[in-house]
Amino acid sequence: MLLLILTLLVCVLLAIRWRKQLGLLAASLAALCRFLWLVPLLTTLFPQTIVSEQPDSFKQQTVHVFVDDSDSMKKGKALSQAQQTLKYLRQRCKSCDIRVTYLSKQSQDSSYTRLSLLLPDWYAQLAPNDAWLLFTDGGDFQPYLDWKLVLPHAGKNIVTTDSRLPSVSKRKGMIIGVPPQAGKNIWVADLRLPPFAFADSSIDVEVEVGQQGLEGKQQVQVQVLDADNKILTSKNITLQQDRTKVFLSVPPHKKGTHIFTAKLLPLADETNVWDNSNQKALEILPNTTGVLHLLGSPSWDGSFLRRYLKSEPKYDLISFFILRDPWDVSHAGTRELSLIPFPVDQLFGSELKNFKVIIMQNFALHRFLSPKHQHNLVEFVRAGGGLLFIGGPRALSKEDHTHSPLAKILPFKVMQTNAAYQSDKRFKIKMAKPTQAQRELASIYDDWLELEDQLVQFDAAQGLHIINPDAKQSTPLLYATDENKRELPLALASYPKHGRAIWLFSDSLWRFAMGSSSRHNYHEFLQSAMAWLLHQDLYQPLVSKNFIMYHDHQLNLVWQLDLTGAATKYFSSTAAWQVELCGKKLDWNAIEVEHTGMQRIHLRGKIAVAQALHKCVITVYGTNKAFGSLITKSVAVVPTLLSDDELGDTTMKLTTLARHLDVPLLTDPQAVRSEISLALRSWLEEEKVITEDKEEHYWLLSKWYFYLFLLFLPLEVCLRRKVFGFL
Amino acid sequence: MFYQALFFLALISLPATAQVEIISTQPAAGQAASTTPAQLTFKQLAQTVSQRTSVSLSPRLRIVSDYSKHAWLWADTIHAPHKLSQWLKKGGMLIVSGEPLAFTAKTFPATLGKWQHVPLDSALMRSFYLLNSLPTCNNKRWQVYMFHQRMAIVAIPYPLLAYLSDPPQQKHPCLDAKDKETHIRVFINLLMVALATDYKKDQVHLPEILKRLR
Repeated sequence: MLLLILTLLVCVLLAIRWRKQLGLLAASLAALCRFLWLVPLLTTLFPQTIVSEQPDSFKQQTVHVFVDDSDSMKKGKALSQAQQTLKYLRQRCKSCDIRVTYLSKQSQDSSYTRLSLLLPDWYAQLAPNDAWLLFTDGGDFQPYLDWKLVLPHAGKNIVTTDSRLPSVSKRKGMIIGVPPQAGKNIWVADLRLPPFAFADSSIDVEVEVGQQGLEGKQQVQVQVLDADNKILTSKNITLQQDRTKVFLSVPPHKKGTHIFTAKLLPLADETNVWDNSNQKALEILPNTTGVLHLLGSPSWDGSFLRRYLKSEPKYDLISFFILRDPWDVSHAGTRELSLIPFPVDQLFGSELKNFKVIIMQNFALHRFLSPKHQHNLVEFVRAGGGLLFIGGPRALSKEDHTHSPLAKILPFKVMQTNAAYQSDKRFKIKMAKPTQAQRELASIYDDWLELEDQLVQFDAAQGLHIINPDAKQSTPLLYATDENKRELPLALASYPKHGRAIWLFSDSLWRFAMGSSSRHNYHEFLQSAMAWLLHQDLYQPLVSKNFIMYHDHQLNLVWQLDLTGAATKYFSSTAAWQVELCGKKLDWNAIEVEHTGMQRIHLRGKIAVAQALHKCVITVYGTNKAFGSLITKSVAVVPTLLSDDELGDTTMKLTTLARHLDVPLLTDPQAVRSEISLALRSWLEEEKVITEDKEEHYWLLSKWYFYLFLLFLPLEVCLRRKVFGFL
Repeated sequence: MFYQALFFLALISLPATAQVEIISTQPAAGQAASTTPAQLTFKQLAQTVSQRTSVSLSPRLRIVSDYSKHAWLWADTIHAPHKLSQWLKKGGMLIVSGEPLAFTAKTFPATLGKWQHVPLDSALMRSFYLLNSLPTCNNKRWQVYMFHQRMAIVAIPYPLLAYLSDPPQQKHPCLDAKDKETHIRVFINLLMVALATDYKKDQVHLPEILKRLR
């Protein structure tokens, strides 16, 4: 400001000096002109702060483009339109890094479009914020393969925990497809089956039907068929919308794996019929569980346990109670007694495999079962059955824990030579302290932990076996604390080969039912035990997921499977673990193993197929001292191969792909440019804007009135040269 | 011969089973008022039960003031029906003998469970011995209170326990010495119902269950 006043003062002094030569008016005007043309120079001393906004997205944006240039795309104008769209994209988005992948570069055989093979790899390389465009007609050489299996980590509502597969923003992708072919077409868009079903119960099936080219209402018959193409159920529906959901009820099936086919009867003038059917496998489980209850002598503990078992309709219970000993005298004829001969040979022979759990309560094996039957019973457990052992005065006799087959699976030693059951022993219950790894496998411990308050308050327990547990072969669950504060094993879990066993060393649990605030606690306690023995625990130690089979470029069958659960920590490519596929044991050299996360293993391999397969079962066996043996199974339908010529219209595949990825699908060629332009603008606007502040000294140069100031320089010259005569 | 010897040794080495006690809150009906609870015994009954079944019965009547932690109870009268309902819900079994019918009908109305005469196909009729009928007294029949699909209360129209105690009480007009074997069989059946519930049903339905499991 001072400088401005000084300049003004100098100009006034100049005007005074020029007054004698030029006169007062001309001198004043000339001085004013001097001042005005000096103003631009003065403004450089007063800089302005400039705010500039520069969108960053154009500089950084990568756009991935996948072009399906298969035979079917070449036939129409789809491929040339894709090229034109790419050209437009390059013009529209000059600063974008456009990376184009052609299907033909990855696969030479263009008659079989291997989209389901190439798309997952391309999709997996996308960074989270990359934009992408997919040019395809949706045609794939294994059209029955579900996109959900091909791209399990894509689409909406996907939470990806797998670091290999980034979760791609669903907002930055678009599929540019082809218009549907002229003519009528209907297809099975989806066949939804429950995760499993029960034998003797009807199965709810949902079929989603898609349609195009239909005018008005159209009657269609939806059928569900079994593996022998026998119609199980059918329904006539009227198609009015693009998508129609149909709910059907399939009659009950026997336990096992069954293949169901949803089929639409073709329309009169429908040419594309391959998409009129879809298949899926379903595991049917038995609706009841066979439980064999052996009780050495009628007792309150037996009575309460039986009442619990009978209160659960899911158990098919057969009881083998010893009501009288062989030396008892009943003082009655056989016809006066209600004792029915028990089919021991049948139950402990051929029928034993039909049970899931055997409860051996206060039972002396060697007295009531022959050595062969004892052996069968123990083998039943080792083969995957459950054993709930409950002690008592008759249990763990010397013969049982030393000479009988039972001795092979005991995870403890009896500390005295005889049964070592102390019927007067009073104790309180305390939770044991298994290791974290043991807890993960014996999830029953966590279930019982929720009952800890009730268990520790229970003070009426009486009667205990004194045993010495084998720490390597058992997991401690409960302790009995006696009057001397000694902690004695009360409950153990063990894993006899493929099976599971729980060992309870007291017969006074019924007192827990009577002593607790509610009988519900007693039922919860037993419920947890039974669930664990039946491998129905919430966190299964070994689970097979995402089993998928598909053909590779050489048309070999590729399979992949995810294993999860606590037992995967013990996984090794050794003889302790085995994989059986389609009935054949696989060599570990033929299996790729990848640890993809905590308690998650990805297995992958390929097999040459000599004959056409319809479905395939994969079984994984694992053995370890920590959990015994575990088995997990999955079933997959082997996809049928179709060439581009056989496929015809693939609108169904295209629409299901777009729905699965949850992105827009453009099929109108006229709208492609405008939609891409809109999409780019949308995607780019999402990017952050860089804001920059800086001081600008020559800010006046950018203003239009800067030139006005400059005009005052020649005006001053003219005034001082007296160009203007009138002044 | 060797195996026979082994079997014999096995019999000798059979451990004693846990004894089942008869629980009551007062002396058994019919006992002399001067008899103390400690003197009430069932030696003969316990011996009979042990000889005929695998169950071991305590020869002494156990008198308790708090029955809530016991699984069954023999009584003539019961106070505090609310507590009794809770106890039955947990799994207790009440056996009322003597003249119980008025008491039971009042205390346990049909809203909770269901009173009924013992049907011929009841577990009580075939849990060990096959019985054609149950003894009656003055035309009064046995009744059961079905609760949670089990016999929660059994009402016996005469003092069965007193009759089976040592020495036997035979003063009741409905009890005749000639029928002692019948009453012992009835008691054993009752004991088996308490300890093994309707176990016999499994055997009856065995073929059907096996067919379902296959």
